[in-house]
Amino acid sequence: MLKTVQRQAASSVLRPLRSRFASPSTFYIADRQSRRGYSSEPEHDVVVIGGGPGGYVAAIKAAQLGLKTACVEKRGALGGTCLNVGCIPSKSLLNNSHIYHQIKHDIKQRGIEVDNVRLNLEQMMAAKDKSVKGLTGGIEILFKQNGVDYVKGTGTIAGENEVKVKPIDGGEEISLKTKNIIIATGSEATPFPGLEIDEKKVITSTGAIALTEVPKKMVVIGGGIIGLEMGSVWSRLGAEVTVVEFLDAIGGPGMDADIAKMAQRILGRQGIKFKTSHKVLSGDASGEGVKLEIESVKNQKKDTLEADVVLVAIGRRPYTEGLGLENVGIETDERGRIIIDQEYRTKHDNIRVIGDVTFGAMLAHKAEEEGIAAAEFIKKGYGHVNYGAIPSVMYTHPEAAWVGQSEQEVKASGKEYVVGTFPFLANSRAKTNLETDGMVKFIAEKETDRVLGIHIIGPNAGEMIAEGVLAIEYGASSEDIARTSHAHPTLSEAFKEAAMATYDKAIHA
Amino acid sequence: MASTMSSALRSSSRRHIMLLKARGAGGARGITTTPKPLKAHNFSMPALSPTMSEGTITSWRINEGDKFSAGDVILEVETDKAQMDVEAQDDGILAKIFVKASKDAVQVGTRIGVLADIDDDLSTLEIPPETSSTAAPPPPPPSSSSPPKESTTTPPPPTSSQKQESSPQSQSQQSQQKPKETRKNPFIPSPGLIHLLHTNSLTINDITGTGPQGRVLKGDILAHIGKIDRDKPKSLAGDIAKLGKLDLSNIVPKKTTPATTKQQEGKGKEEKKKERKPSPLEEVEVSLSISLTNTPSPLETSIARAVDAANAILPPSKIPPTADQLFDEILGLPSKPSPQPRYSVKTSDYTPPSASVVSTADLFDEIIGIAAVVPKKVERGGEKVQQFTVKVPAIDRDRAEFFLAKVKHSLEGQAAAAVL
Repeated sequence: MLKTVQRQAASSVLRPLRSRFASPSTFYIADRQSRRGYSSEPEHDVVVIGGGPGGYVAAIKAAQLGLKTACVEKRGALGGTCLNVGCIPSKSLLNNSHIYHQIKHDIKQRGIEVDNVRLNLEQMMAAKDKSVKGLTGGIEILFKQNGVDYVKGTGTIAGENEVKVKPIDGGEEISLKTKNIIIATGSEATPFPGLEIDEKKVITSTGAIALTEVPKKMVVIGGGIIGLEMGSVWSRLGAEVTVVEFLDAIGGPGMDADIAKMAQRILGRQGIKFKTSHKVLSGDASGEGVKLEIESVKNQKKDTLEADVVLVAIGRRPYTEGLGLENVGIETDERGRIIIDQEYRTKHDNIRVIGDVTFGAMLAHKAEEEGIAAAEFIKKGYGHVNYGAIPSVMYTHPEAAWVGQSEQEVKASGKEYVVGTFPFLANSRAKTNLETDGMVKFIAEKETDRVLGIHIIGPNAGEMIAEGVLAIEYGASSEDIARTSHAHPTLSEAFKEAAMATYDKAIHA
Repeated sequence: MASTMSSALRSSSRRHIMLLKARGAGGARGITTTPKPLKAHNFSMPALSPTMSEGTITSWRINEGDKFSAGDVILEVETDKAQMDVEAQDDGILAKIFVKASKDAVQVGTRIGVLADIDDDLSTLEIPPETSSTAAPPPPPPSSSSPPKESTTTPPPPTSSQKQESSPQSQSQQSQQKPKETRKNPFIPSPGLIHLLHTNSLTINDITGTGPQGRVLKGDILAHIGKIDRDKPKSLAGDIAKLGKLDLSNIVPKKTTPATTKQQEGKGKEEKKKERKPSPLEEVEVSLSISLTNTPSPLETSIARAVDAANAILPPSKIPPTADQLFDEILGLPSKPSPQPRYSVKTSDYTPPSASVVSTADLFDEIIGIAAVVPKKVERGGEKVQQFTVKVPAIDRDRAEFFLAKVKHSLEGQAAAAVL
C-alpha cells in the first residue's frame, strides 16, 4: 500500500522519462535489503541529492552502469554552484572583460585602432546568462538520454533507504525509496563575521557575477582564486580594486610561492592593489558604501578602506542544511564536512558522499571524479580517484595552473628535488602574441627524475596543465616530457623546455 | 685470484661496447657474495642491442694469450645494423679464442673465447667446458651496463654458456631471470626510457616497474643499472601513492565522540611529522614549581581559576597564523581555539573544561600551541609543591613563562584569595 502511495506522489513530480537503459529489477547487485528482510522493494538503486558537477555526473554514470537512478536538485536548474553561479558564469565574464580590457589598453600596439569603445554591461551579463542556460539545459538532456529521473525539490534523508523530497513548485512531499544514496550537496560561500551579505553592496561570488553596474571602488576580502578572478573582472571593467589578504602571499593554499609572487606582480601591474598581511577587523555597511577597518598583521597598523562593493571571498563551507543527516546519525567534522571513508561511505554503507560537502579540495572536477568513482563503487565495488593528480587553475590573465606538489610542500616532505623553469619571454609563440609574462616550473625528485609538481603562470596555463596532469598520472620523468615532441611554434614548447631544464638544460634559455 | 668473467656490455655513445669483467674480490655489490668463482671464464658472443640475435666477428684486435686493460677494444663485431667495438671493462687476459674472425654469423651466447684474470697463469689455467649451445635461443640482452666504475656493482648478464656452469653467479642470474620470464611488461616504454634502455642495452622486460600499475619509470632503470639507490623508486612510489589518497586523517567530529582508531593513527602521523621538522614551532617544555600550601581547596578549582586568570592577561602569541586557522575563526568553530592560544591544565584527577582541546589530534592544535599543563606533585617537607609544565612551540617560550609566573602568583600566598 505504501508503495502505491509513493508511486502516485512521485509521478506528479518526476519527469516522464522512459529510459532506453532502464534496468530490470533483477539486475540489482546490492541486494542487502532483501537479505535483511525488508519487505518493500526499493524504487531506485541510487538517489543522488544535489545536481552539481559531482551529483549530476554521479547520476549519469550510475544510470550508464545500469542502475535505476534519480537526482534531486532544489535550485531549479542542474549544474550546481559551478554552472549556475560559479566557474561557468565567471569564466564568461573573465573572457569578455578581458577582450574589453584588451581593446581599450592593448590592441593599439598591435596596429588596431578602435574609437568609442563602450561597455554594455547588460549585454555582457546576457551573454553570460546565455552560456549558463545552454549548459544547464544540456545536462537535463543528458539526464533524459541516460534515463536519470530528475526530481526538482529539496531532498532530505528520512532513513537509510528513503529520501523525502519537497518539490520546489510547492506540491506534496514525496518519498523516494532507494538502495543507495549519494550526497552531493556541495558548498556555499563563507560569510564574513559582522558583514551581512546582501549580494549588492556586500557580495559573495554569486553577487560578483551579477552586479548591475561597475563599482567605482571594490574591496575583495581574501586573495584566493575566487577573489582574484572576480577582482580581475571588475578591475578590467573599470573598478578600483583592492584585495585584502591575511597571509603574506596571494593565491591560496597549494599555489607555489614563486607563482604566487609572479601573479601578484603581474596583477598589480594591471591595476589591482594588494594589501597582503592585512586583517579585516570590522566592516560597516550602514552608510552608502562599505567601510572596512583593516590592520597590518606585521605592525598592527590600522587603516580604513572605503568601497562601493565588498566581495567576501574567504572560502567556502560545506552545505548540509535541511539534508537530514541527523535522521540517520551521519556525522560531520568541525568544519561541517561529512565524515566518510576512502570509498566515500558514511557510517551507513549505502550512503556515500562526494564533492565539496566532504573532504578534499573544493573543485568541480574533483567532485566529478568522485561522482564516477562513487557510482562505480556501488555497481562494481571498485572506483578510483588519484588525488595526487588533480589540477588547480586560476583563470586570471595570465592564468595560473598547477598539479602535484608545490616546491614548499616538496621541501617540507624532506625529499631532494630539482627545479627547472622556463620563461615565456623566451618562447617564440608568446613573443609573437606579445604575451610574455609568466613561466613554467617543474619540480622533480632529484635522483629518479620523477615529476612531483608542475606550476605554470602564463597565457593558456589552464589548458597546458592537462599535459602536466597526464605526466603525474603516469609517473613521468621530466626527461619523458622533454623527449616528447611539442609543436613549433606553440606555447607548449615552454612546457617542454622547462622539462629539459629540469633533467638537463633548456635549448632556448 | 681468479674471477668470473662475464660479457655484460656497455655501448657508449661512440658505439663502443664495454665488456664487463666482474671480479669476485672486486668489492662489488652483488658479486661479492659470490663464493669462489671459476678460474677462467667463457666469453660468449654478446648481444650488442636488444634485438641482436647473431653477429659476425670481423676481427679480434688482440691475440690469444694477450693481456688487455679496461677500455681496450677486444674484438669487432658486425651486426645487421652496425659494426661495433667490444671493449674490455676491466683488465684481463684473452686465454683462448674459439671462433676466429670470419664471415659466418655467430649466434648470441655462443662461446667465442675464454677470458682469464690478469694475474692468472695461462699454462695452468683450467679452461672451462663449452656449455653453450648454438641452437639455444638468444638470451635476453645483458641486464647490466653502466660507466666502468659502477659496472661491477650490477649483476652480469646471463649468457647461455653460463647457465650450466652451476656457479653461484649464474644461479643468481637464473633466479633473477625467473620473475622476468613470467612478467611481461605490457607497456610501451616512455620517451625518456627508450633512450636509457638503448644506451644501456636493456629491454623494458628486464626492469621491475614501480610506477602506476607497475609501469616502468626512469628511476627504475637508473636503480636497475645501479646509478641510484635501488630502493629509491619504490620508496618514492610509496610516498606518491599516499598523496593519491584522500586525506582522511585527523578528522575531528563536530560532536564529542570517542576517538576512533583513525584519529589515533592520524595523531601518530602528525607526531612523526613533527619530529622531522624541527622549527620555531617545535614544542618545548617550560616548567615552574608552585607551592600549593596556601592555595584554598578545592585545589582543582583554584588551579582552573588561576589558569583562566593567567590566560586572560597573556601577551599575543608569536605563532604565525595559518590559512586554516583564519578560516576556522571565521566559521566560528566552537571547539577550535582562538588565534591566541590559551594554556590549559591537566592533572591525574582533574579534567579541564577545555578537554576537547586536549583530545583534538589536529595538526592545527599543535601549531597553535594548545598544550596541557601537567603538574607533577612533589612533596617538600609537608609543603605541597607541584611542578607545572606547559608544552609550547619554542617561539612562545616567553609567553609560557609569563603564563606560569602568573599562575604561580595566583596560587601562592595571598594572591590566591584575590583570584577567588
